[in-house]
Amino acid sequence: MTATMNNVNQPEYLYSTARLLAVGKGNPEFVKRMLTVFVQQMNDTTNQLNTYIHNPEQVYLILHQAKPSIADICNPTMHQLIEKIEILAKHNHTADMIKQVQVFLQRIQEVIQAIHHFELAED
Amino acid sequence: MISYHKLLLRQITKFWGTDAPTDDRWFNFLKAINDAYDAFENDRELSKRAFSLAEKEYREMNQRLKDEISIKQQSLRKLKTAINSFEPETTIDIDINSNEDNILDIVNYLEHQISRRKEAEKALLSAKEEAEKANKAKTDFLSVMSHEIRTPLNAILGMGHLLFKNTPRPDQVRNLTILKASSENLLLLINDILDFNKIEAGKLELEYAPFSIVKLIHDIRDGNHLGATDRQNVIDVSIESNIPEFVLGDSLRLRQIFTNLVSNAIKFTANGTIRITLSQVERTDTDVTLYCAVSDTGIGIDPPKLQLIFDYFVQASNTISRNYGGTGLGLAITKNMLSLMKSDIKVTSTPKVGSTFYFNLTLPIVSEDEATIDIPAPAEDADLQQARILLVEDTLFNVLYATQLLGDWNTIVDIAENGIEALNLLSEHKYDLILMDLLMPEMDGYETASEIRKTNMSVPIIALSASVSSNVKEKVLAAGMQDYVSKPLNPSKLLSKIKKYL
Repeated sequence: MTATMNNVNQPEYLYSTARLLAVGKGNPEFVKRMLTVFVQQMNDTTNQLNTYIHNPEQVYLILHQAKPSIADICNPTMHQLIEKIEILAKHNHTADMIKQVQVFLQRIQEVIQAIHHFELAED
Repeated sequence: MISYHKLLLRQITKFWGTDAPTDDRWFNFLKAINDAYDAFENDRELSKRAFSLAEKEYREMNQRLKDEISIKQQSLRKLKTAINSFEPETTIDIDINSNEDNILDIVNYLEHQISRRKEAEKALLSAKEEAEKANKAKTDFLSVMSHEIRTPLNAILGMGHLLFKNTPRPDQVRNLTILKASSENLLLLINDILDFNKIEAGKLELEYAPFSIVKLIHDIRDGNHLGATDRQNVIDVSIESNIPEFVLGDSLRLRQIFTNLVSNAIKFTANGTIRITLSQVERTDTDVTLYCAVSDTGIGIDPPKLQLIFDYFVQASNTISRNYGGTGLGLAITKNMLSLMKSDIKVTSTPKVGSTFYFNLTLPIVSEDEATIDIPAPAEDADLQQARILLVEDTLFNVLYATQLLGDWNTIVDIAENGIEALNLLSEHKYDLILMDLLMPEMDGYETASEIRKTNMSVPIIALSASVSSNVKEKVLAAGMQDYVSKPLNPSKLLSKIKKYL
């Protein structure tokens, strides 16, 4: 298992397992299980966002639910992106919100693919 | 006695005298003639009335036609006047007394004009598209060139910095100082051009992250201290004490806005004071509106120039660029950035007295706890001596994350996926502490806590919140909970809160 794709100090990284390793005291099985659950959760989130992309209230709830796990694993810019979307959703700036949700969907796909490739692929 | 028609009576009198015949046959004959006379008289009267009515109707119809013709003539005159006022060179000959052909002429003329207008619109659209393409090419060129220039420029700055460190001779110091100042000015200009291009292309997007607005203002003051001192200026900072420490916004762009305003103030002030003011205008549970101002005691701006200075490449006077430098991009960029933040910059100024640039800015408030997302140190070892904890949480990832931590700390953990399950478990078991997610289906954390407090006042409840708003703590306390921890969970913060209530 590749512990992290990049060093956490580099802003370019897509995801990091540093927090999971810290919480799991370096247990690779715990990290792998959490990443599997994360990927499943993000697939659900993606499907829900695609369904409710025009509904600010739903978008807010869906992303609010996903925010803690994204903050645990993804680059901080993803967490900031969610907060940006939450603000746009809260103020009903639907057109801008949809644009940002589309950015989120694209980036989360990159994260999911990278996790699949580097962490969850069978050796 | 029958009453005869006057003409018949005259004839009877003439031929019979006063001895009118009394024979029945004659009498009937005369009566028939008399009826014929009466019928004729009635018909004549009816015809007379009918003719009289027709004449009246004819007069009215005639008048209506005259009115319609008059209105038509007036309309034609107005139409002709309107056409001539649009295009004075057009001469449409309209005979207002005989106008059928003229109307056709006008219709033909208007059709021709509409075709011409459509062609002109098409040409304009095409020209606009060409201009946009040219503008995009210019923007792309500027962007590429600015990036290309910035790379070697950074090398020049770096080399200049290294030369400074090699203890240069006094004459070299002077030359290096000029090199450094020029390079830095060029870098600022290029950065301005890049921002200008981004704004023009609609590509400037704001980032949202928690930051300390108070610290940002102090950083601005400290960063400009040397520049201000060089011109014998003092920078004062006035920040109201009730301003929330942490807000959510684009600190980088806000720093750029304040830096631009403060450096401008320094540039146009000598031996004076620059004041940065931050005060609270309005505050709700979630947002704060701040009054932000940068004022100086400098040369001021002439009133007619006050609005122009926010336009691109415009400065208050032509001598400014020569005497003070700059391109006239800074304030335009500042105005555009604030516009993206739904704010509007304004200025008041008195020549030779000074200027104040000010704006109101509304930002979401963030609590200190949530202001940073840090990478935790490995989870601390702790022994919570088999404390029984109810974790109310519906997201599997969060459940696994929390149970991993709680398991390490020697606790017994039960899981409830929503408020109803939590109430059921509480009726069966006694818990030392409850960790309560706030946003859940069926029954949310606030409602669940309120329900618990109806029967159980003693069990401590700690809320788990992913919200950045500052009023979460007030709301969890109002619902009967003791405290809250923000998500993602920081192990040491969670442990210290649990220890506090066990």
